[in-house]
Amino acid sequence: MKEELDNILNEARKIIEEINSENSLENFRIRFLGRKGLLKEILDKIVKLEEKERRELGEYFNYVKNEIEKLYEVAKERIITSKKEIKFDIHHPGEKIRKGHIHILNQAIKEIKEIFMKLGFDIERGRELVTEYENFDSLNIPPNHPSRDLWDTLWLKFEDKNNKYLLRTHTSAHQVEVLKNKPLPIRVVIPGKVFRHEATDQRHEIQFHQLEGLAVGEHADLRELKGVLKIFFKEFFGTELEVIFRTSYFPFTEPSVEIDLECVLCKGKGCNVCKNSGYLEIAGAGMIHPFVLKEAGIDTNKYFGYAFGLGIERIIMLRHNINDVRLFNSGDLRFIKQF
Amino acid sequence: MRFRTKDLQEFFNKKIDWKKVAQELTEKSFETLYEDGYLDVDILPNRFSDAGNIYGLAKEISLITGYKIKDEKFKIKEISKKIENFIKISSRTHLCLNYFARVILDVKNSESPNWLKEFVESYGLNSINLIVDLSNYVMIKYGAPLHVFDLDKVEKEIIVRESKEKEVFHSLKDVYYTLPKGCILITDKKKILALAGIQGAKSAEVDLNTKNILIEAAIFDPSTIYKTSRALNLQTEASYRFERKVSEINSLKSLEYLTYLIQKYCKGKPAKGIFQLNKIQKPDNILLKFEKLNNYVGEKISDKEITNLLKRLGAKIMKKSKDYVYITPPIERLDLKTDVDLIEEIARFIGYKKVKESFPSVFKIGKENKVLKFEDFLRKNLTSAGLDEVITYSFIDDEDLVSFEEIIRQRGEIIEILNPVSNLFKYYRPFVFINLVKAISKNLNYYNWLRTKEIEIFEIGDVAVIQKNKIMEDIHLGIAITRENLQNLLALGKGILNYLAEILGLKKFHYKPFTQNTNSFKLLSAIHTEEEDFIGFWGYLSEDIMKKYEIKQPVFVAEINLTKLINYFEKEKLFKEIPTYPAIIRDLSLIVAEYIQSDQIENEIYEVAKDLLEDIELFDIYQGPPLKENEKSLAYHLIFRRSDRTLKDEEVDILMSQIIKRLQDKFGAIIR
Ligand SMILES: [Zn+2]
Repeated sequence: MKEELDNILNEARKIIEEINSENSLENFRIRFLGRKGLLKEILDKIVKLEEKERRELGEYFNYVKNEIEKLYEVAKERIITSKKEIKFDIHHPGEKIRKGHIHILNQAIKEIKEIFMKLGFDIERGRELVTEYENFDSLNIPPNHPSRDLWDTLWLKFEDKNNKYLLRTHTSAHQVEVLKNKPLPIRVVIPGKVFRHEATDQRHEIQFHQLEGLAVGEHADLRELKGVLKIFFKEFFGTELEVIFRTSYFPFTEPSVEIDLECVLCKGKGCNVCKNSGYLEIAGAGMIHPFVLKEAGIDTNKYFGYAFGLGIERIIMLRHNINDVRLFNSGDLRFIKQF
Repeated sequence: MRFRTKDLQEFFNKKIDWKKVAQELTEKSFETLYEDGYLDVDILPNRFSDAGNIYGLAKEISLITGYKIKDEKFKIKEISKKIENFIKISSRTHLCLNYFARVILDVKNSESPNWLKEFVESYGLNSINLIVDLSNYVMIKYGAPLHVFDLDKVEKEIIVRESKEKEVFHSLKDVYYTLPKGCILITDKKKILALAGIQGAKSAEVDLNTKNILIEAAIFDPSTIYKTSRALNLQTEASYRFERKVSEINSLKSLEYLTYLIQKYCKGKPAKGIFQLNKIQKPDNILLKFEKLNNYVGEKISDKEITNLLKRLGAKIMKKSKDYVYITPPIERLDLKTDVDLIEEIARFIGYKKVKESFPSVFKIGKENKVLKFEDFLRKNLTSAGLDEVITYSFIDDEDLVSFEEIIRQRGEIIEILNPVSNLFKYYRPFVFINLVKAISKNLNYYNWLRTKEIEIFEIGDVAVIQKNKIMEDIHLGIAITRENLQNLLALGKGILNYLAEILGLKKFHYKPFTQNTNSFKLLSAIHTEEEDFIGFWGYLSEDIMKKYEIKQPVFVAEINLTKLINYFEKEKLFKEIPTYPAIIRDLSLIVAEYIQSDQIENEIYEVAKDLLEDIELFDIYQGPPLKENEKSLAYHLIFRRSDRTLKDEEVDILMSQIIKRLQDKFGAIIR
């Protein structure tokens, strides 16, 4: 009879694995644990045995019954929970997926780089600490000249016998170096952080980013300058905008122009962002001054080119409706996580 | 500069539409705003010498509109006594480029009439007395700053010279200045009469009792004036103009006009003749090749149009051919020196609107600088791992310097800003992480908005220190993470570093205890690559620092030198055959002395197992009871595999016993 019990247990173990529905589970219960089930049949036989045999087999019977009940409970749990999963609430909030954010400034710089690469411009990187020569003298801004007042400069205490050092006030500080080292024709943009000694407010920061553009050789003329900027702004703002030149002065370009862009917000109709002019002052540019070309060892009889510089935060602020430039440097995740 | 339109109108017969003029000026010359009888004109610095006065701006307006300009006519009646009878003038410095002067006798000075008071005040000056106000009136009208001396206060002779070290100048505003060497001075034999080009001295000041005067119209070296006025922090209307150059012709004209006005309003009698130090310099001729003009602008402009425009500008055509034109620029236009200056004049007159757009003519796809590419690669991968990128200021303050002094000093000498905007921006940052700590503190305070105390941020940026008397600028990656639980925090921090190694295709970084003691970190570990390159460090902040930066939960910090790490970037990844045969994985758990590093153990294991060991993974470190005080337990997964056939269990059994023996011999390891 012990053998019979073993067989029953083995059979139960085998069957239970295939049980997948409440129905088949109920059949299982009836077959093994029911009032007319297999176990009941055996029990009836055991009861009729002699005292000693009955006690021994009774213990074993209890063990088998227990095992089968456990199998039944586990299967029941399995079937009920699997049913529950089907009842998943569509309003469940979902698991929170952690996503990091690239700073909006660097997202935009990446876009800008890609636009200019498509236009044939190489992308270069400069340094933040430069010499007085790189930032000023090499760009036709001699010492003790009022044109130096156009840039409020942060100087380093450190000097060596050849140089005074400063935090670059513009990415133009790399013009001569790039013109010297790259083979002609040159098409280059240099994004980078620049610094000004300035009181900060919503529109002014002591550090911000500029994009420097340089082109020499192969018809790098005012027409191409206009064309390049127009394509760039169209790509960046996603809409065609008029670009106009206005007479200006920078010591390192001649002619020098101020670049006005049709107002992104009102499309030239006039609004409070463009002070009702319909245009935004967006960049400085011009034909590279022969002084600078000569400084870089380029033959000014043969070659000419243009340069431009624009503030990166400014165009991002226009595109994303950001009203305070200081947010960029704030490290405030309430700002950063929005983009 | 802010002009009254009525003053400009005096030079024109035609009634002018100022709104329209403002628009044209903005496009072709200077940004201009018109409001309530004023033109606010942003005169470009290179044009101040000719256009920074009423007459000069009127000329510019005439040029762009074509309206005819009226020249003012005036007559001077001299007495027969010559100027030489009253004064002797000489210069002992080359920094005085030219000097014109007149003497006027028997003047009657007084308060100014209302029209004059109003005039000087609307140009931002205070009314002083008739003679001084007239002199300012002339400066605003014709551009040259003039200076009037009380001749009776001058000792017979005027000498222009340079200052000696520590000479004292007593200004007419009653301020005493100690002068550096090399300022230009107007003196007589006994005293300083004026700080040339900047301000007069008290000693020869014109007052209401003044009878006889000398008017000075001079040209001083612009950069010396700039230097002196910056050194003394004394900027005046005169110095502003001298710095931007004053043309000799304007200077002479202004002198004559003031003489006329003093004769008219103060009944003065001009002595015969003008003192003139040097001949007036003629402008250099300029050769303009038409081809260059067309190259620059990109639009074809006809020769005829070019010559017409140049003529209108006041240039004299000296020579002309089909290829070029050779001209003498107008004498007052000190900014026109080379052909490109003329190109600008022509381009702005024909109008930049006529410049069409063209596409770049260089056909290629641009190439990106490798460092910039690397930075973007890291940004992409770190944000994929859930970190947020921040940008902070490139400056630190004294507090920061003290807080992280040891670790900064280890790197080099801090870079101090000579003229910081404020004490918060006193030093250029030597590390990125310092401002990340501040950003963590700040963002934990934003719990109300962010609803999390789990913050993980990074920044990529330039840092620098001075090493061996040279500026060393590097690009660093800083990482800062915070969690409430320290164990979780450190595990996450290490996880991110492993991830960083993995994305670069490195097996892992190696960590060594930091050599320098520091109070800023509780735990500090140097990061090395497998090639033993020191590339940075990680650690977590000490309680002192946390208190200082008002942070209440532990902060993990890492700083990595990307200038070094970039060497591991972009090594082409080659495909490795996917293993055909299964691996056998065994666990090894052992107890060793605390000071023994996992690296050393791993190296030994590799040495025994050689190529059969595919990977080793430390999955548990434990210290504490029931282990002894200076013991720790380490547990590894060892992954064995052969590429040519399936490994047998017996082979691995043998290897395992060899490994165990080696670890027992070498480190006295107890196998658990
Ligand atoms: Zn608008």
